[in-house]
Amino acid sequence: MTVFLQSLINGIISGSYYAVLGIGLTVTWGVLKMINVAHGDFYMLGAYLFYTFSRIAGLPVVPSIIMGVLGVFLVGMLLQRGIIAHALGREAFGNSPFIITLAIGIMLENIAQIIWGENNRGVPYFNETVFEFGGLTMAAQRLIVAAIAFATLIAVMILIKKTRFGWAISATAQDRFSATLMGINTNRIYMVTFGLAVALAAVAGCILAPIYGINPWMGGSVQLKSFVVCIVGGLGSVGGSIVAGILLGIVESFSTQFFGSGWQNVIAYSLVLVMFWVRPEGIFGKKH
Amino acid sequence: MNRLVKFFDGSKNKMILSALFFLVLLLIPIVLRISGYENESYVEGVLILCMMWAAMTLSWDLLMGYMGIWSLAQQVFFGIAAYTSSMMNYYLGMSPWLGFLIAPIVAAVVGGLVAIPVLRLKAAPYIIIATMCLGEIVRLVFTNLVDFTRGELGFWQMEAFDDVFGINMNGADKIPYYYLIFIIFSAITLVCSLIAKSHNGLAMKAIRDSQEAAESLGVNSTEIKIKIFIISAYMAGFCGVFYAHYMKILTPTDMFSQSMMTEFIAMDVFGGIATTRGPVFGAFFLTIIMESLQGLDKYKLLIYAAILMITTLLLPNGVMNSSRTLKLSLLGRLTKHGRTESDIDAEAGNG
Repeated sequence: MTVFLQSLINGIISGSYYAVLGIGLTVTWGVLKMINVAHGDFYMLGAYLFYTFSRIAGLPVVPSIIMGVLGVFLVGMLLQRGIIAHALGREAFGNSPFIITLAIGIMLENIAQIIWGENNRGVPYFNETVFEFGGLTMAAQRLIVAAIAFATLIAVMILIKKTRFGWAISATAQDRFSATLMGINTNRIYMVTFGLAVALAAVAGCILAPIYGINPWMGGSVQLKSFVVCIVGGLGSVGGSIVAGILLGIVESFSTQFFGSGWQNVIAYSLVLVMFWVRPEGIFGKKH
Repeated sequence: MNRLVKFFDGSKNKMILSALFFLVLLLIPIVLRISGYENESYVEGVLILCMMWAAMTLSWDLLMGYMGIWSLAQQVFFGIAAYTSSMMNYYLGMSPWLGFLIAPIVAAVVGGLVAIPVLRLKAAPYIIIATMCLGEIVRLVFTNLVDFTRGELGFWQMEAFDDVFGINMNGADKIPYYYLIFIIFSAITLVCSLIAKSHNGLAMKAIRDSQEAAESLGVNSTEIKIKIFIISAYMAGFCGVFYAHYMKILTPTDMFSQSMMTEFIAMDVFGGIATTRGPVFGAFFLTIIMESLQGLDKYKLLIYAAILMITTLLLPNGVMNSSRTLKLSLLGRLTKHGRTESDIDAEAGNG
């Protein structure tokens, strides 16, 4: 029972940041109608910026996280306006935004490699305390991760559902042309949405850096897992992504428990194939 | 003769150009040997890589360029064949030549299996995600089955091909390997252009442009998709076997990770999709550029990314398909945003 509870809690905690990552991709998909294969690399960039501000510049943790996320937000907006915007809406493979984001991913990885080197970088835990109750152990760091992740999720939900800016995003996602007629500057919406989406990846990168360490290739597996979350939750559905993220976390934590640590990703990715087979539109996606 | 002309994009000039290209490739080692050029084996090594990647990119272009299935799992077929051949060699002591018989068939079977989940999906992003996950699953399985595949360690120091007809294949002299890959490359080029010009090729293009319309005209899209997946995987398998016994190093990360697929994408997109000359040009150009930038190893991927981005934004149809775009922009009539290639075609009276 303790093992079960421990796995469940671990699952929910790692699931919470899968949800944060998945939402970023889902929003990009829903609004800009493109898939972003550089999402994992923005996650990596966020972690590196956090490392730079906190370890090299010596700032305290909270300002470094904020600076790191803001930095990625700006880089994301610049890349969207400067490069991706020109390819949006193109359908053929050779000129699609997909190729552009692929190139952006390679570029970010290489830049990180040049600036910060290929070695693993570490950031100390925000808080070293370890709680124990009833046989369950829980590092304070993991609780902080979960708390920030859930706070971010709630903030995103509020932003999308309750603010004028969120309504503008939803309107643009539904129909760009009508949104333009309503006086919404859709180009700006696209730019900010993309920035927000990659900033979410950066949030996950910052809060997870102490646990997993930082290297230029850390985005690869995160990228695919964000895709898993998107597909299982239904591409374009924010609420679905949250549920799917936590579900993925729990599935992973239990499969590590039962099959050993090499196999949890195999199971996570197989989930996507099963999902495509049974319900391609995702758990919460709309049929179309 | 007319049929032959048709294989090479329908023009006599292009056919002469292709023939010339293959003739030059055929003669390069002989010329180098006779002239006694000191870096002979280096040049041959680069050309071997060029031909191998060109063959791989061509096999993938059948799926992506002609049929519009954005499958990102081509490296899986390549890797599976390489692994099959080296495992047969390592565990059963079979000759690497037998790998050419068996491994591509294994790759083709895997191709058929990959086709099944992909067939159910129509939207491009779904196919991208599904095939990316498939590739990653294969990589993890090969990493985790340590007893069987030696895990992350991979296979090292595999046997070279056995000597045949008194030709020494130990790899010290690259010429036998050069001609081996030359044969594979020309065969794959021929098969790809044959398929593209055939009845099936037209059906493939119809599926790419609109699956519903193609089906309404009596194209059996399921059958063609499975067929092309199998053929494409089979061809990739030959390259895989060659790679295994030429490079002699196999690790799951090298063979199955997305970075190799990225190279194929870059080569194909750069050269021009849905043509025979595009992937060949892209593979040769990028491989040679990358080889000559060895000193800038650190920035290699950055240059790759930049090339990919610039081609996508400025020459969306690849270099080989953009002569008209280039001509127009050189004439000062820069292609404005929003105008498609077909508009330019129409303007040039060439549509």
